[in-house]
Amino acid sequence: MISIAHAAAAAEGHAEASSGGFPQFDANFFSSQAFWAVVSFVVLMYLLNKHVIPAVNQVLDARGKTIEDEITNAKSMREEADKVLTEYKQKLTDAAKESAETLEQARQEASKHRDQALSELDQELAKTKDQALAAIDQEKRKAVEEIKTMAVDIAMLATEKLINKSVNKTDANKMVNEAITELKEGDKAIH
Amino acid sequence: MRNVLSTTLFSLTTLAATPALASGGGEPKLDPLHHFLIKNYVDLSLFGVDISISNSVVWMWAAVAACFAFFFFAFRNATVVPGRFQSLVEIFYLLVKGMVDSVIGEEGKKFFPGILTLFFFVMFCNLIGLIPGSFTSTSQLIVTGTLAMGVFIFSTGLGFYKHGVKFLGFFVPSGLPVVLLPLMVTIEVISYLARPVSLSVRLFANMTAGHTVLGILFFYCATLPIWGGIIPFGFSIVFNAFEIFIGLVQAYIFTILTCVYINDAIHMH
Repeated sequence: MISIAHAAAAAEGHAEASSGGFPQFDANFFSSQAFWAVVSFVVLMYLLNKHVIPAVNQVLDARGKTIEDEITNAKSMREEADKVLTEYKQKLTDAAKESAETLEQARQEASKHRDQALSELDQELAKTKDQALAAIDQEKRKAVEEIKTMAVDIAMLATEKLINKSVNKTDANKMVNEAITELKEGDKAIH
Repeated sequence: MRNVLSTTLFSLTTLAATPALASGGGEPKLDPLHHFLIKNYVDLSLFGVDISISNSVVWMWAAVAACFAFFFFAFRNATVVPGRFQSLVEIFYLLVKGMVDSVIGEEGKKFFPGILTLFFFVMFCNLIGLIPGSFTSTSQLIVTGTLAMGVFIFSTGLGFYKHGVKFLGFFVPSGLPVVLLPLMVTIEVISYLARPVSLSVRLFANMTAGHTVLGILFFYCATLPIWGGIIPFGFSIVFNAFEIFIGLVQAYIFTILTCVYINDAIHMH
C-alpha cells in the first residue's frame, strides 16, 4: 500500500542514491548531440529555405498584390463615381435653369395673352359704348324732331282757332294755355 | 475502489510519469531528472567522434519533421485568403519576419532563413518535449550550447567580415576618460563572451526546471493515494499549459537575442 510517508521515504532514499547530478552534464553524450543539433538545424534550414519560405512569400506577395489591385480598383471606381456625381449635379443645375426659363417664358406668354385679352375687351366695350351713345343721340334727335313738328302743329292749331273764332284776350290766353297743355301731354306721350 | 481510481489516474499519467519512476522495479522512487537521461539507440562514430543516435537526437529529428509538416500542410493548398491553419502559421512566420525587420532592418533579410529556422527549431523542440513519453532536446545544455555558440561565432565572424579590425572598436565605449578604458574594455569583452553562455543556459535551465517540476508532479500524482494524488494531478495540468507558454516565450527570447547580436555585428552601436 502506498502512502504519503512512503512516497516521501522513497524520495529521500533516492536523493541519497543519485548524487551524480544533472544527466545534462555527462560529457559522454556531448559530441553526438552537438553533431546532430548542427545537422538537424542545417537540414531544417535547407527545407525551410527551399520549400517553405518561397511558398509563404508567394502567398504573401500575392495577397499584397491583390490588396494593392483592390485599392487601385476602388480608387478608379471612386473617381468614376465622382465624375458621374459631378455630371449628375451639372445636369440637375441645367434642368433647374431650363425649367426656370420655361416657367418665365410661360409667365410672359400668359401675361401677353392677358394684356391682349384685356385690350380686346376694352375695344369691344368702347365699341359697344359708342354704339349705345350713337343710338341715344339718334333717339334724342328724333325726339327733338318730333317736338319741333309738334310745336308747328300747335302753332298751326292755335292760329287756326284764332282765325276761326273771334276771340277776346281772355279767350286767347285760354286757348294758348290749352295749346301748351296739349303740347305738354304730347311731350309726355313722347317721353 | 481507491485502487481502481488510483490505477486510472496512474494510467492517465503513466506515459509522462514513466521516466520519473525509477525502472528498478519494486518500490517507486522519485527521480525527476530521469527523463533527461540520454539513451543511445544506435552507436555510430565518424572519424573517431561519437555521433550515436540517442533519444535526444530522435526527438530533434521529430521536431524538424513536425516543423516542416507544420508549414507543408499549411501551405500545401495555400490561398490568398488564408484558412485557420494557414493564418496560424502565417502569424508565426510574420512574428519572426517582424522581429528581423524591427531589430536588424533591411540588412536582416539575408539572415532571415537562418533566424526563422532557429526560432522554429527551438520552438518545436520545446513543444514536442511536452508530449508524454517524448524527450526535450532543448533541455540538454550541449544542444542549446551548440546553437548559442553557432549564433556567437556567426555574429562575431559577421562583425569582423563587415568592419574588419574596426569591429574591435565595439569593445571600446565612446566618450570615456582614458583612465577608465582598460576597465571598461575588460567588462565589455567579458559581457560579450558571456552572451553564448547566458543564451544557452537560459533556454536549458528553463526547459530543465519546467520538466523537473512536471516530473515531480507526475510522480506524486501516480504514487499518492487518490485523495492526495488529485492535487498534483490538477497542478500538472496547469503547469503543462504554463510549459507551452514557456516553450514559446523561450523560443522568442532566443531568437530576438540572436537578432540583437547580429544587429550589433552589423551596426556596432
